[in-house]
Amino acid sequence: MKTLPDEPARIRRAQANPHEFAPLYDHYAPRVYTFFRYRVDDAATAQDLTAQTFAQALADIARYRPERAPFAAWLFGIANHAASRHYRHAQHYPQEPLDTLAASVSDLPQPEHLVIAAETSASLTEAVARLDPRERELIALKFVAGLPNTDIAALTGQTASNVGVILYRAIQKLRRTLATEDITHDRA
Amino acid sequence: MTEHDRAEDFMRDVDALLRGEAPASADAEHLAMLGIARDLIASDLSAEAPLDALRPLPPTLTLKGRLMSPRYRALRWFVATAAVFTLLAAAFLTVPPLRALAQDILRRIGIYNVTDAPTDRDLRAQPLPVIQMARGGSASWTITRAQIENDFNWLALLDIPPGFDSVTYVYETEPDLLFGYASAKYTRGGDPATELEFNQMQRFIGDRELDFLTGGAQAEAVEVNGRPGYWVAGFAQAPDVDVQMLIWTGEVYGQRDALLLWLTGRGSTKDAMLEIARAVTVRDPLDIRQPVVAADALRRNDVPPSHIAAEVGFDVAVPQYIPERMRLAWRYHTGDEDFGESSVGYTGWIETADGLRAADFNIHQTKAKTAAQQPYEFALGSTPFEDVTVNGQAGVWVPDAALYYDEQKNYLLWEQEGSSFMLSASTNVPREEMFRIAESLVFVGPDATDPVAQAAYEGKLLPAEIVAFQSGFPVAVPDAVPDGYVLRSRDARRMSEVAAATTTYTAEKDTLVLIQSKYPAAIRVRDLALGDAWLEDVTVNRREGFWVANYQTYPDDRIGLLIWEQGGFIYKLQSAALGKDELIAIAESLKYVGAGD
Repeated sequence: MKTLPDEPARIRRAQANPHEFAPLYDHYAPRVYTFFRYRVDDAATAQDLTAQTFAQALADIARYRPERAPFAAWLFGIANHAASRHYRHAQHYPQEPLDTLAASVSDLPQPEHLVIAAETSASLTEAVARLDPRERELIALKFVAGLPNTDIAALTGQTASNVGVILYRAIQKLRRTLATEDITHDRA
Repeated sequence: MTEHDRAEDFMRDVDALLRGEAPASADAEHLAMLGIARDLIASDLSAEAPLDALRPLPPTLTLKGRLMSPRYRALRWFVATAAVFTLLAAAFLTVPPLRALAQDILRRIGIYNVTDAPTDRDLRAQPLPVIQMARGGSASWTITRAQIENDFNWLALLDIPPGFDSVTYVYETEPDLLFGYASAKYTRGGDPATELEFNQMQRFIGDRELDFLTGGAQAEAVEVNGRPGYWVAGFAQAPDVDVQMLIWTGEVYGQRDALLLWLTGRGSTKDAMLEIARAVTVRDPLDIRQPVVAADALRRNDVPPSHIAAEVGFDVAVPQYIPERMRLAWRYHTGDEDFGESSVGYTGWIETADGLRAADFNIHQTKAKTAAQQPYEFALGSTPFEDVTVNGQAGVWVPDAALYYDEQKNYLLWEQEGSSFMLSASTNVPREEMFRIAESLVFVGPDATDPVAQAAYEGKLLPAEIVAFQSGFPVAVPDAVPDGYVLRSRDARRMSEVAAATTTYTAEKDTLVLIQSKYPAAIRVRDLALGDAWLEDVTVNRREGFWVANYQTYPDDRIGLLIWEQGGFIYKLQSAALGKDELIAIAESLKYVGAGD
């Protein structure tokens, strides 16, 4: 993942003045949202978690130490905790996502789905949504956050080699799912 | 090749993709999976989210523009709160009105007894002489002129305490303090060092009385005759004077604790005072009017009607015929802007068909103060009456009615000499006797030889020279008072060992009072009981003085009070509207008029 130009200086400015946090938000917000979109089933929850993540990051940025971890790792660490809290909460207080409710009201395609369906990523998102939560977590941390397996291992409490095997199997599952839906990915 | 190896190869290529490099593998299956990885890496689903709306608001900044951590915020809140409390505490300790308020609150809720008095331990360490008890002695009674200015019909009677041999009973008013009281003084062998004083006062200013009378001294709660009371072993205001006080309450007019009683003594002990207090009996007001104990004394010390005439401003009617066995019980006068009233009461016994029975009669004389005012009319309502002629004037006879008293009485009402008269009597006083009393009235004016009485009778302001003559010392007169203040009254009084001249000015919303007092030489400004008022040291005419910014009077009024000592006098200058500097300016303008000037 591309880093923000002159990121260390921007971080120092944001630490001194929260109004300087905007460039960091603008750069990382799409990735963080995408990260959550792969982790949860509905857009509204992903938006809530994105907002929570950046509010927490803004409140804690004074305590961020660049020598300990890259900014992306620190930020996605916060995001991963937010997602974990969400899952724990959802287990105790299950809620029906608004997107699902809307779909159940009508069998007709929703307007936003019509737009997104035109993109390859729509199928990919649907395929990722069929993976189990642990695989979705690793997919998001690896491909969206762009973290090395060692960092992912530290965040998830697994070994780096286990992370690699789980990701390998998850990509295989995605390929089979996408093939079933007649979408080929042989552009590599 | 195991799955683990294939996974490692795949992850190596994925990491290459993430770095923007080309993958090393050429396996078709592997390449297809890398295609999915590439799509995942390139995916951006944020188009569906309103990211601008999710942007967090910047948190609060410090003054230097730095972010506040939660710990810093908590610390800052703690420091700010501590600073506010410190400032408030400093204000309450140093600003006089706030300090007085805080002391009041703390004392009232019993958290802290604010006092400079010695501790219980100090008091216990001080040996107190014990009064030698012995029966006997005689009593003498005096009624001051001030008695007639009060409506004190109650009286608590105290037998002569054991060990004391003389008593003087006094009804007094305290113009400075706006209330009246009755007191009795007892001594042993005429020795003033053994003086015991018994006081009584009707409670009308609430619970603060106990605080007020004990002057903020450290008091011990005691029970006296089944009622709450306090024992004070000494006073911080006068540490060199060996004075003790026992204060408690009694019942009067059927109201529990409405009567306040206190004993002050020198060299006494709590047990000795409690024993004296047990000898006190509170008698019904009617007992006072009956000629049992006090009537002889009252008649001997009758206030001359000429004095009342001077006070009310008209000639006072005095009956020349008094039925046998009835004697003067009380005199009373009052008035307002429109009318003056003089009343006199007689009690005793009267011969009836059933033998001697208690009886009384009263004469009320009311007169308008100005010629333009219509004569006063006693209202009869629907009470049946009979037209009669009294002293050649038209009048009415109302038998056996409850017109102005709770009990049934006979009434004779008429007008004479510009006054309205109401003669009321117990129903056992025959009608003929009442007519005979009415026809015997003579009218008494002020003492023609007394210029003070003449001036008062004519409603004139007493000249300062006369007040000086009356008080026996030169009277201080302000040379300048602020605009809007008008001289309203001058007065001189002597009470016990204290003589005072009072000058009053009034403005639209204020009364300015100057009290010039001659105390016994031993009394100094600092000895005056001012309760727990906060005193600010000031200099008046180059003499020591005090300024009390918020002195509490009764019940809720607060005034500014300037007190100083000068030329053997203690001066009080008080006003609700003028400030310290204005009162000092008045004080420094005083001139002296009259005796010894």
